Amino acid sequence: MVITAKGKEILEIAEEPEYVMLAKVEDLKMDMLRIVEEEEIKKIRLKTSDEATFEVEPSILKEMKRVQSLINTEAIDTSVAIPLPNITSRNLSRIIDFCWEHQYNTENLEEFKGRFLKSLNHQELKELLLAANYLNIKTLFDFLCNSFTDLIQNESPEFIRDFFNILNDTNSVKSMHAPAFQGSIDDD
Amino acid sequence: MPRVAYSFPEEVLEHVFSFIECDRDRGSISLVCKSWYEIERWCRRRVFVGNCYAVSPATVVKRFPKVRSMAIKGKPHFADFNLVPEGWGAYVFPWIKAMAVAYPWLQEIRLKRMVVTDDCLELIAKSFKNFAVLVLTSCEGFTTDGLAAIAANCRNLRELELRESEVEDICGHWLSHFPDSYTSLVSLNISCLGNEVNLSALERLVSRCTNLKTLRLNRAVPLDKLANLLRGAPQLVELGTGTYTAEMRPEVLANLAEAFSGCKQLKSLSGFWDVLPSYLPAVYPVCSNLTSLNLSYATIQSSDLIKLVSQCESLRRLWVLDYIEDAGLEVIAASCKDLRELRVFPSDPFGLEANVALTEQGLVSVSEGCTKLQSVLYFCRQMSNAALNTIARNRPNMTRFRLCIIEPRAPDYLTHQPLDAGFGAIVEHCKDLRRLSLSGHLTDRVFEYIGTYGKKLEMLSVAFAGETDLGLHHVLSGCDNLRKLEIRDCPFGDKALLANAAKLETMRSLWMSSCLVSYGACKLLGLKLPRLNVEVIDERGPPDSRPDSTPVEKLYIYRTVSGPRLDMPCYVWRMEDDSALRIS
Repeated sequence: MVITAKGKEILEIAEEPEYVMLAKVEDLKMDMLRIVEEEEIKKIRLKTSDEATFEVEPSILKEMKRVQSLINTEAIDTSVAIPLPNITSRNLSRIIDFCWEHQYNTENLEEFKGRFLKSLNHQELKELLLAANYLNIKTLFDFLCNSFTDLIQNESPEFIRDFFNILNDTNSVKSMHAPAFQGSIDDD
Repeated sequence: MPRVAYSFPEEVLEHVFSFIECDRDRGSISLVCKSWYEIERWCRRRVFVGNCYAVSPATVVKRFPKVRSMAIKGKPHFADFNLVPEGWGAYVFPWIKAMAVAYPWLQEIRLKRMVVTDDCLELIAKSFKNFAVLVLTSCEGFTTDGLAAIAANCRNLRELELRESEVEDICGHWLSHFPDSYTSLVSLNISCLGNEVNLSALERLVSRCTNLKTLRLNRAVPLDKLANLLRGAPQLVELGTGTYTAEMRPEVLANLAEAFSGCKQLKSLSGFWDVLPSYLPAVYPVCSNLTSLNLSYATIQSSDLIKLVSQCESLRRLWVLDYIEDAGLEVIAASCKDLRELRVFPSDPFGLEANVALTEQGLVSVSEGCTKLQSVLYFCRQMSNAALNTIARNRPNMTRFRLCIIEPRAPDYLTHQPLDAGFGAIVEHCKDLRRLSLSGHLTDRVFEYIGTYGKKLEMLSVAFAGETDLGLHHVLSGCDNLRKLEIRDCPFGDKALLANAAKLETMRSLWMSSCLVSYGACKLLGLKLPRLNVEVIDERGPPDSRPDSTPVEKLYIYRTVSGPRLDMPCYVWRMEDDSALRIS
């Protein structure tokens, strides 16, 4: 997975001027070196619901508080992959991507986040939100919560119900109350 | 692809919801389903109540058990123009009482147009252990004794703002009730206080509160104290000066200029009572950083204003008297490219003749030069359809447009036609217009335009306009998003109101004074619309004593889920609904 993330970055920098590229490649090499060193210290494997195994470097793992606490509390045999029955390989790869960028992409993080979000359809966004919660990754979870907020902004209860596939079991009395709490103290 | 239902664990939803701050979005999610309603109400920290009589304190504290921040509005907006009689209501005491029991951890209270007594302030001071923010806008009924209680007891107070409130000034020493150990103040606004405050207490307070960002003084604070205050608070972001005049002495000016230069964070200036232009150069060092400038008390001539505002190139908001004149507005159009909000107030609203060279042209210039302008309040003495049309085409991004031509029913001064077409252009071109105030000679035609194009309009103020019920009918039947409508001195009556009665249930409120609505129609509305409180305000005595066809003085209709209010003064009558009849 580390290679995947790096591979993507190499693709991107290929479009930049040569001198920038050279500098970045040097940085990259240093990063790789450092990562290889770290990985040798603590290399953890994660197994997704669809039986894919990922090798995850410690700096990414640190973001996953749930896995981290598993490792810390239950002297886990690191030679065996830790099962994540709630997470698909597609989502785990996304999560690793996100955590990677969040740590190392200091310049274009916002741009990355924009692209990341665009690549998700509504259902994937919901899956990922649950996955981020399950793994207890604060940065990703907060980011997705925020995105969700943008998504439902100014939308009706019907839209949100549809979005989450929720059955309407409310009564009309409650909807009468809603407008009493809307507006702004400065609007007149 | 088949859709899969994902059930979100409660704690996930709660976290997601915590990111939603907008009241309307909060309202929407609470209506999604029963479980969401429950989760949402338990994690709502901020509550806004648009009308203190639309819902009862008991209902609010029961539904939202963990509120930290409460904002409540009271009287109708026309109270600002003295149209709401003394003693009308909007007492905050029942709210404070309920919150004192339910919300011991309440931190913020923001009130607008409410009656706040010293008892309320004392109750706040002793009930909420972590109390931090008190903002009272256009409130009344309290004294500096109540403020002293707040100062003495609220150890974590961050903001104390008295914006345009009427405070009985018993003693300037209330400021010394802040304990010496108290340092948490971030914002202090005492601009509306009439009397002198204890200056040494103020200086000590300002210099020991190192996080103070906003300081708005009152007129009684003399100019020669300002430099010292500023030196004690170089971190200030917003400053309201006191009186800005003194005998002209170069060393005082130099001292003041140096003090201003030290305030590198200053973004907002206001105050400037009795301003002496010779002292204005003192603020020049901070001008280029200013985003907000309120000169609505600065009675100085155009040339002095121009010298000042032309240096404020980052301004987003400017409030100024009409002394700015067309020439000054032209300079603003050329230099303030970031301007979002402009308010021009009249220096002599009751004078018969124009005392300044301010016309429609000034606003036209700003609409041309300031491409980000979206909010306007403009008092002037002449307007034309051509000018309004140009403004509308220049600034389709306008969201708030309030024009007040001082002489009621003034026509287009060039063509002597009504201003229908001009305002029509505003609503047609400004697609996101949310607030509109009309003035000048207007026929029913303008309301037809508003009903046709004003689809996002939320608040409309009308005075001395229209011809028949048709005008009101166009607005009520056409403006889908209208929440507040206030009308005075217009020939609108029963027909339009009764025909659109159901529309009133979708709005927050309707105010009509000196119109043609009969007492009979009011009774009928009360009967038909149990979700509304239909209140007749008539100081001539019981409306029953006059024929049903007699127009009422004032009518205030508002949506409510808490039923009739119990604190009506003797000149307010609530039209009963027919629930009693239905039972029998």
